[in-house]
Amino acid sequence: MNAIVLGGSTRSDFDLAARRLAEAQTSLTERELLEATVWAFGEDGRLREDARFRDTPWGRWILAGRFLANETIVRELREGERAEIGWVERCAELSRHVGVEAVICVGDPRLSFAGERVRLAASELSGEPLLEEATPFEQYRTHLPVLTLEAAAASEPAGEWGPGARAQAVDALGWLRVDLDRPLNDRMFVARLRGASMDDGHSGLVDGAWVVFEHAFHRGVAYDSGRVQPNLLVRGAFHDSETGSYAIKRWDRDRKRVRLESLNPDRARYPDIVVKAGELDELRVIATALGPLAPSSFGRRPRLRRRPGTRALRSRADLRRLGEEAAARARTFFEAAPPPDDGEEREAPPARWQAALVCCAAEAGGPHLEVGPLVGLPRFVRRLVAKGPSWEHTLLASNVRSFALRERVDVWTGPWSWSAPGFEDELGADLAAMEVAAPDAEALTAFRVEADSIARRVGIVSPGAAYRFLVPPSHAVPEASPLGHGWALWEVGLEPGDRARLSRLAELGVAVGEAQLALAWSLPLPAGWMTSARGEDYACFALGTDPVAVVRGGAIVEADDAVAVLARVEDGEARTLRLEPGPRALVKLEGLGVGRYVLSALHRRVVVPPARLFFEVATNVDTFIDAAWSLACRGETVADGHRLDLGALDANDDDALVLRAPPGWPVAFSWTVLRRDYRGTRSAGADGELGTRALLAPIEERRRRESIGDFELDLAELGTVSLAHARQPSPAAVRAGVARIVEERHALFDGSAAYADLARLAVGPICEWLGYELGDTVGSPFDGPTTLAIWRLERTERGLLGMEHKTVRLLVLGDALDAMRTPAAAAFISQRCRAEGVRDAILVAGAAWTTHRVDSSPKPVFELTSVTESDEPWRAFVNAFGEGI
Amino acid sequence: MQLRLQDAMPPAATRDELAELVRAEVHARRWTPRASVIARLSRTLAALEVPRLEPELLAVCRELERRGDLQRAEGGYLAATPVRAVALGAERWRIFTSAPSASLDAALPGAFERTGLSRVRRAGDEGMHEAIAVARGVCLRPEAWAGLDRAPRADRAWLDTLDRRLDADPSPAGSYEREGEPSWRAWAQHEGRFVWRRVEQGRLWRARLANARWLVAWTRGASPARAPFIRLDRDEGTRARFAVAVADGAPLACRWESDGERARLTVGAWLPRAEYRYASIFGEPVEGGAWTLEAEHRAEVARVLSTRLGLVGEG
Repeated sequence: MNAIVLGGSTRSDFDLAARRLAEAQTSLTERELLEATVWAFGEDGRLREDARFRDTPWGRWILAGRFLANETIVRELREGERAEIGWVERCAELSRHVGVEAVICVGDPRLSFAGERVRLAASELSGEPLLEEATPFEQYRTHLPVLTLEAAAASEPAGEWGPGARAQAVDALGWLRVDLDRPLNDRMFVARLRGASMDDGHSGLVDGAWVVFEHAFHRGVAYDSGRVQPNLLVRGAFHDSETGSYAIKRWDRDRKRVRLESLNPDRARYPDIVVKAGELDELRVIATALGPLAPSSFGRRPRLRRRPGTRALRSRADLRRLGEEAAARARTFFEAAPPPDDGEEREAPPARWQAALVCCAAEAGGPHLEVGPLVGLPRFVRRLVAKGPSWEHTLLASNVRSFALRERVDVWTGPWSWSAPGFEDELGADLAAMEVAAPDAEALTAFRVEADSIARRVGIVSPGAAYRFLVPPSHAVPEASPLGHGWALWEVGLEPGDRARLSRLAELGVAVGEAQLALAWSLPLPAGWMTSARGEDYACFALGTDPVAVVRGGAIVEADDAVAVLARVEDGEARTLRLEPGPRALVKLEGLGVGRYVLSALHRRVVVPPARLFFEVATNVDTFIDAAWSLACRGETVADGHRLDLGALDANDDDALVLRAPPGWPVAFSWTVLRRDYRGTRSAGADGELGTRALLAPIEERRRRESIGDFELDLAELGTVSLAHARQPSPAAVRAGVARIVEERHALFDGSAAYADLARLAVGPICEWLGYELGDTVGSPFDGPTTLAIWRLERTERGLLGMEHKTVRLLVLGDALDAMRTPAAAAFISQRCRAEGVRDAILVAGAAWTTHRVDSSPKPVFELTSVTESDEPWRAFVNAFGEGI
Repeated sequence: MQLRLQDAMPPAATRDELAELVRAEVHARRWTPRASVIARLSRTLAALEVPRLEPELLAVCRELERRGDLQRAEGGYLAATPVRAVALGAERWRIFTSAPSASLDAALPGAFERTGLSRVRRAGDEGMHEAIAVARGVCLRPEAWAGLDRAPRADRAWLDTLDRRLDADPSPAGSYEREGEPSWRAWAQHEGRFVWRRVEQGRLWRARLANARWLVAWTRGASPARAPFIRLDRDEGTRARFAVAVADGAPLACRWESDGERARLTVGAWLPRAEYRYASIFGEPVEGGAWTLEAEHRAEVARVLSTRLGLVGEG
């Protein structure tokens, strides 16, 4: 850069002043420059009359073409790497860098000059020590190590302190520049005092004070300070209420008994420690407290300077603090783990359970109720019911204990409450807190789209983010997708400069706030996504990948407006990067090791909220989806051809039948008796499971009605499995079923019902319990010697060549058994049996039942209304009429 | 650990490149709404100065779903899929999975011969079997992947099973007539080729219902308006077209054209699902019910289509 050449007039009598300034490396006052050469001769002159000079903000003068280094030096000192800088050397460096000679103004009240060294003035410093990386030359000459008192006390046994142990002991905290009125030595260290037991009002040994100690041991021998009543850091078998087994106390060596005295006059709170004779061997004097450091006698960290409404992003100290905050936040994100699911019941939920109305994309269904994870939900709760005034949905409790679950909901059916059927008393209060309010029917409800593409409700929208709005019937937004009942879903990407859209939102009554920062992953895409203990998603990258994030928002106008801070959870290590101004900035993260991280984008203005991306770098992210699948019945894996009674399975029993397959994998159902009926296709859920209810729903009617059938589950190229259904009702179930029909439909058995009604409504259902299917009628009721209505009783059975459907008996309905058992009627029935290829018929006249065998004598008669009431008649009835019971 | 500004990223715009992105996104998420995949990738690419690509991304999603790399689940969700390696012969494998190609490169032997929408890998059989097992996937023959072993041949024997179903459980004649008197057309020969015709007699019938869905039915002769019938699902209807043609002694024809190392197969009718999948393993579907495939697979594909559907090759 060339020197700045200013126009304007000059005064020749100021030449000496100009020459003097040209030789100076600092600013000078006007008096210093003009008094001897101008004013002393009675001339009236001011430097502002000469374009060769310019004043500094602090009323001193430099040559107009010089570079004023104060701002740079102040910023560097505020960044907190060093407590002081050699300003001559730094100005020389700046001169080379900017191309004009750099000078410093010594009138800057922010700086304190000591020869060629410059520090921040006391007003610019906080009370916190500034830890530095001391060079070997500085160590124990100008700088002392800073230890925690615990670390110092732990340096016992004697002899371990010293040069050999020094590096190990001091590396943890760092070095502090100190100005003492005595030479430093390598037994000295600085530590922060804890507790108020030594605060007597004038010792300076107050809680939080930084104190210089001198180690009292050297090669196992106590180093005596020579004082009669030294203040010592000691460690022993005693217990101090403030520090445990070590203490800083005054030792009165003139006393016979070893007594560690507190200086604080409040003896009740700070009693002396009397060391018993038996404990003397345990007592170790660690160090002598030489005295507290005055604020002016040690290097202090710069004071945080923040304008109202702004975030400090400039200095290294600021950025280090931001990194520490980011790491702490990331630890909370990753490590807030739920208690282990060890099967133990817990009395109360450890965290507040929450449910919310969220909004997915229109294609994904729009509004959803989101619930979970309900950590601590008792295991005895099997189901949760979400209920609105005109909507209800049941979900498995096991699915929401550890994960968030979303269920599509119609917006006009709210508000929605939650219940655990059967456990209302135990969980009513907790679940009541999860009630979700219905969206406002008079105003747009805004949802901001987050990293997982789920939009969550917000009160104010801000440019730089994407939103979804639930539009009530009272508002018209033509481009919105209709949801029904006049509601609509409007998806809006809100760009910062889109004034038309912002004003339209304002017209619609939406509160529009400040532009926001948004962070998202760019290419390469994350290799996986994990869910934190709190149910939030975070990206996972494979080791060796260099993730790239994009910062959007349009709020970055100047170079220092925003920074990105990357912090690693494990060690708190943080790095920062200033973001380029513009609508978006890309950040590449290179050389990341295995660990968990947070990348934060922070804007200078606090009204712009920070954006964060939590992520993990791991060695084994690319896990493949498992192609294996299995079908389990009551917890046992079943093989192809497994025979069972599907009709006996309880659809509400979660473990009755479970298919585990790759997530989303389609499973085609078919039911085969004589022909294969396609019964639909269902996809496995996100967890890869299809539960009992989903599996049995396609065959709900047939598994209960049909005696046999093959239930095939076709997973395409992954394979098929077929369950051989064979209905095996227990005698007790049959008895109960028959008794129920007799009781409910007893009026049909009084002999007055039409045959068709009797067969369809009463006898047919009883025959189904007895193992038959009611087939077609045979002939006309008027074909025989008396009025007889005849039906085929059929069964489908597995044979050697597969399933076959055949007539096994005839059902003959008449007015009276006597008329049906006359020789002529019996011969007619036998003839019908032979024609149908069966040997038996069941004769029914109202409630009177008997059997007929071809060319055989009459059989016993059973009174249906009483046969189920006692065991013996029932057993005989089943033997006579049942099939396969 | 180092941060720096990334000056520029290469735009990803071709369908093959988009396919890799879509697969990577779905595989990483495991289970995600398709709309979200498209929106996220579109935003990601927009940040890299690539123009908005929603239509292209949607087309790529659908193509990957159809090919089997992604699984479309209920509710508009896409699911990641396991690795299925289908042996094409000569140590070549067609790979179906949502896993990104880079992940497969690290897990499987050999190298990709082709990536993008369709992926073909060249690798030895033994090493491939071992690697696929480690990746918890499956190695399949083309017939098993396509489902030929689970689908009947389109022949007279299969038509006999339709007749038996018709005997066992017929729907009454005219069952659909109350839904707006559908216009029934039979699959019948006309001027030497099979077409859907409005005729009096036929076995395989088709009509469009009032709700715009096609209904395919099988009868003894008269239309379902006048004769008992059974309803065929879409795949059965497609298969029956070939079977009727075979039974009538006039099997349908396909046309083969050669273009150097590629062959083009054109079939005048939609193929049943299993045979469609089989042809798709070896070939790339192109418009007009046609496939282009490597000439070395022509004989095998022609044999399977002839055996199972009676398709007669011309050209």
